[in-house]
Amino acid sequence: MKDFEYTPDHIFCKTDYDPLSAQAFGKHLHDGIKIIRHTDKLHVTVPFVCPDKKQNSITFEIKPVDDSVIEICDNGASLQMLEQRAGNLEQFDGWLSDFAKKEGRIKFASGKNMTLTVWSVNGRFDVLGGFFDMLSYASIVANADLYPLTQKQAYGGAK
Amino acid sequence: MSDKTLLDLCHKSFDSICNTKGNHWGLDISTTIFFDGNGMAFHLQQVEPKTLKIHTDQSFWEWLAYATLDVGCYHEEIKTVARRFGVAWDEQKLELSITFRRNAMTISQAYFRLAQVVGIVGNFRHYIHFKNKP
Repeated sequence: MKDFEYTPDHIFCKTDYDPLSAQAFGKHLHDGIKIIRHTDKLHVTVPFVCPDKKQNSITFEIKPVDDSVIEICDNGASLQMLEQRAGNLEQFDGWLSDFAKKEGRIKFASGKNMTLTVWSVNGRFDVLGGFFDMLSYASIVANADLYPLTQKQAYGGAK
Repeated sequence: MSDKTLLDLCHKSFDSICNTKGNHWGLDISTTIFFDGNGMAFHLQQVEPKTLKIHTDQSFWEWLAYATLDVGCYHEEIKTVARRFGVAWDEQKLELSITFRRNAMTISQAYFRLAQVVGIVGNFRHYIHFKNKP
C-alpha cells in the first residue's frame, strides 16, 4: 500500500468519492494503535485521556479463553488511575459492584483488573464492539470521581 | 477453533476498525462503536488549513434522544464531562466534537478522545446511578 503523507490534500477529496482519502484516514488512525502479539494473547495500546493528564494511552489484553469466549482485560489500569486521583477505592466499592452487575459482561478481579467477556454469537465474535465497550468502561471507571452528579434518571425517566 | 485461529481473528479485526468514505465536505466515518446495537458514525472536516474537526452525527443524537427521552435535560452534564476531555457539546446540533490543530494532536488521538466521551455519555446510566448512592 502506498504511504500517504498527512496533508489536507490527501485527507480531503474534491470529488464525491475518493478512496485515497479514506485510506489515508485509516492509515493515520492505525498509526496510533500498537498491537503486540504474544503466543496466547494480544496487547493493544490506544490513545487514552485521563483529565489529570497523567495517562495518555491504555493497553488492553485480548485473550481467547475457549471456542465461545474471548476476554478483554485492562490489567488494572482503569482502577489504578481512579485510585491515584481519588486516594482510595473503598468509597467506590458499591458503585463498582453495581456497575458490574448492571453491565453484566464486566467483572473486577484481584489486582484491580477489569475484564470484559465477549461471547460468540452464532460462532462469531464482535471483537471490535467489545473493544470499544471496554474503552468506554475504562473511561467511566478511571474518571468515576469526576462526573457531574445528577438525580435525573437517564433511562426511561427524563423529566 | 484453535487459540491461534481465534488470535488471528482478534488481530485481523483491527484492520477494519472503521469504514471511511470521502465526500465533498470531508469524510464520513462509520465507527465500530455500538449502543444497544445502534452503530455510531463520525464526520471529519477541515475548518481551517491546519485545523480539523471530528464530530458525531445524526446517529449519536438520535440514539441519545431515544435513550434519555429528552436530551435537553442533560446539556449541563454532557457539557461538563466533554469539557474535561477537551471535547465540545453543541446544544443546538446535539453533537460532540473535537477541533484540533495538526501539530497539536494526531488524528488517532483525536478520534479516540472523542470515542471516550461518546462512550461515557452513551453510558450515562452508570454514573447517574453513582449519584444516587449516599
